[in-house]
Amino acid sequence: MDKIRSSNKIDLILSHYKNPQRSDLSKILLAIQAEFGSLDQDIIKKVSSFINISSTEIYGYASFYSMFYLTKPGKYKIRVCKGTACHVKGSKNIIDAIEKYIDIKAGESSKDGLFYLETVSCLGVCALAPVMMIDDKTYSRVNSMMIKTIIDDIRETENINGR
Amino acid sequence: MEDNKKEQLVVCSNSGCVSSGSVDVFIKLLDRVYNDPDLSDKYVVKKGGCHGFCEVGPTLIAGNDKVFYIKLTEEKIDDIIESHLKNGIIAEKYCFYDLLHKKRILFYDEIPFIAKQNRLILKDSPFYDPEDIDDYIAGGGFKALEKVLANDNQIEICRIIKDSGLRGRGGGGFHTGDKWLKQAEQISQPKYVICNGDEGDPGTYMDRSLLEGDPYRVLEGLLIAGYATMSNIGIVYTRNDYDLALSRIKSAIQKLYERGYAGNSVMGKQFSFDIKLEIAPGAYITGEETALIASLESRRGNPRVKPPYPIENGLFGNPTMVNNVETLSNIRDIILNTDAYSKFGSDESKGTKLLTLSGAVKNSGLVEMPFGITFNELINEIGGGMLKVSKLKAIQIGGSSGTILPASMIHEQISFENLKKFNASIGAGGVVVLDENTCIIELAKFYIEFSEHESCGFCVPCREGTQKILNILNRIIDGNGKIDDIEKLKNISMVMYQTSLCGLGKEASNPILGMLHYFEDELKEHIIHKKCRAGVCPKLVRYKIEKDSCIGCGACTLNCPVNAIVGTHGQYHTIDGELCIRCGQCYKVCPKDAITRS
Ligand SMILES: Cc1cc2nc3c(=O)[nH]c(=O)nc-3n(C[C@H](O)[C@H](O)[C@H](O)COP(=O)(O)O)c2cc1C
Ligand code: FES
Repeated sequence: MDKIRSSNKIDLILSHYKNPQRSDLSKILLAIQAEFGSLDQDIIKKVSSFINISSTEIYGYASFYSMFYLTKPGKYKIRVCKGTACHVKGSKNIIDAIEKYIDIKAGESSKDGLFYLETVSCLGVCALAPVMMIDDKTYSRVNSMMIKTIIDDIRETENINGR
Repeated sequence: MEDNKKEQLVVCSNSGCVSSGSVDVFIKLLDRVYNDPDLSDKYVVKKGGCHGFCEVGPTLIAGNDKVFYIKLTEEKIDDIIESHLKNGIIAEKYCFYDLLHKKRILFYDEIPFIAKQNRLILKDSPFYDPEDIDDYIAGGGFKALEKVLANDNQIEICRIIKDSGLRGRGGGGFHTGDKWLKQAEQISQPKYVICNGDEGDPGTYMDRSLLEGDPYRVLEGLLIAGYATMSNIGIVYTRNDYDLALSRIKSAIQKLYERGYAGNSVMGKQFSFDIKLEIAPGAYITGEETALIASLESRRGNPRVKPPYPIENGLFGNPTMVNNVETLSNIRDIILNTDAYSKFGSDESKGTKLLTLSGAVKNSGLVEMPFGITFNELINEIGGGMLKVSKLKAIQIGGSSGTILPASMIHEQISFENLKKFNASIGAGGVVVLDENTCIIELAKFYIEFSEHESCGFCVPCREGTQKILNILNRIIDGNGKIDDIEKLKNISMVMYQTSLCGLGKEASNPILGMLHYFEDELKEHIIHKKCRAGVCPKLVRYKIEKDSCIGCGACTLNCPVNAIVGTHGQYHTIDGELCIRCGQCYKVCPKDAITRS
């Protein structure tokens, strides 16, 4: 049932492209990802036959860029800056602390599906290093102590809302 | 009173200040002023672009005197309204305190960080609302476009740019005028001009600041580039995670269409120009122009061999000229004031450069200076000197393709031609100031790790070379280095430089070459004596709590991210060597300096 429903949604998105060009690939994948959160094998196969590019090539394309997710990321996306300014002010400690505290590695999602951790090269707020973002909120001058509080806060909100 | 006669209250609204809470401050101020007829009759509250001093944000520039309030909170706004806006007494305690000269500085124009700069393209942006096209026009916006459109001889405009000496700010330093002339020669249609805002070099954010803080200036530059080169489509290309920049550019483009600055017959003239916003899908390499074009065609961002250059064979095979965001931001001033512009800068590097100053300096932020100033002026005059008591050890300039220069070079000039002498480059303009707490070997590893991760994997020297160098550096940092590793590093770096396909691989070894050249002692120390003088490399340091000095305050326990420190309050604490990740937090926070590093 679920499968049929999601298949219909994909069809709907694809129907916007009457005469699909190769250069539409990026926009199509983004639109589908916006709907489903990530691009799985079934999606890639479907897009492949629609736009007439092999699945391998689409996979190669999507896996090249950080904007596309091939597995579903956790609900909260944590992005820790690993740029130079942040690096010299100890961003590695921040990453270590998060990895330990939530028990994930950069590029992974937590088992409870709550967090996704990635590192980025510069968030453009170097003056306030070290910097991290959770979804679209920026945290500046982060230290390992703050990590515990921030994560605990999120966990608590999620518990209250009963997910 | 009409709005434009009122005094202005400008709250910075760029990313830095937003992350420090400027939105709440803005709303609070707006709310209070508009609900108080006395105040709203005299003042208008607005958002402003970036002043570059992000470190002290959120900020407010108040009134005609430009009183500069820093690190604002909602409570401080209440105080400022009572004292300054209602009773005319400046709330001095919320102004900047100059530690160096031990005095309060009340006015924006007198803040050393700003007063010492020489601002051309950042001059107005702190004062106008980046979301308001009328504000831009009132400040002289589109005058340059108007002037250019009145000239039917497009080649002449390209020549003006050439004569100004403007060189690309995206890293390569190619002469912009030459590029424009070449693009103007192309006859096939359509012709594209791409504004490259895919800034990704670690430690740089000038393009982001411009796109967020002064989007119309960038777009005016793009329009002029389009007209001068007889191109008909403009594309602004920027990172998917630059949320604020994306939304501002998007709305700015829409306004351009509404007001007739884009689309068919721009400003009523015989010139049609469409502008699109494209989102970079997230890979450092798409900053390189041929990879950028590949990504726009929905292909993997692999660079290709040049020539043919994009101008000859670019997007979908059409003539395509790529200009950097900062490059385009210079155009307006060149057109309006050609002679004055060329007075800025050094012989072979004209105009000003935006630099992002960060690291161990007192004032970090976005700086604009003419080419030719020295590192000393940058670090000690604008940057206010080193942080706390630390001593300058090295300067990193140019990001991942830049180099690491020793402190002895502090009196060298920052310009394309001078840095070239030291095998260094300005790159995008990131300057990181490093003190003795930085390990150069670890820093070099940091850069090569970045390049290794960002290498597209297409050409062998870059893909394999970055990996090999990384392995060697990891070995050295872990205390297992061998003396012939130095020779190996040199060889691999040279091969990468000579045989890589694009700039990434060619320049990835620059930080390594800098390290080998200027910091060989430190490298040898790691290899032979297994010693890291900065105390950074984890395997080469041990932390220990001195029994006699420890007062058992618990500061270390509280700050340890891995709970490796145990002890009862008031008693001597100990570190569990197994659990310790050697992050050095405890070492930094101990009030009694009871923790030693060996
Ligand atoms: C690995 C690599 C990364 C680059 N990244 C950028 C970038 O982020 N922004 C940019 O404007 N140019 C970047 N460039 C340079 C572009 O290829 C191109 O030369 C530039 O955008 C041209 O504009 P300009 O002449 O105005 O500098 C990069 C080049 C290389 C080799
Ligand atoms: S290096 Fe982290 S924000 Fe720039």
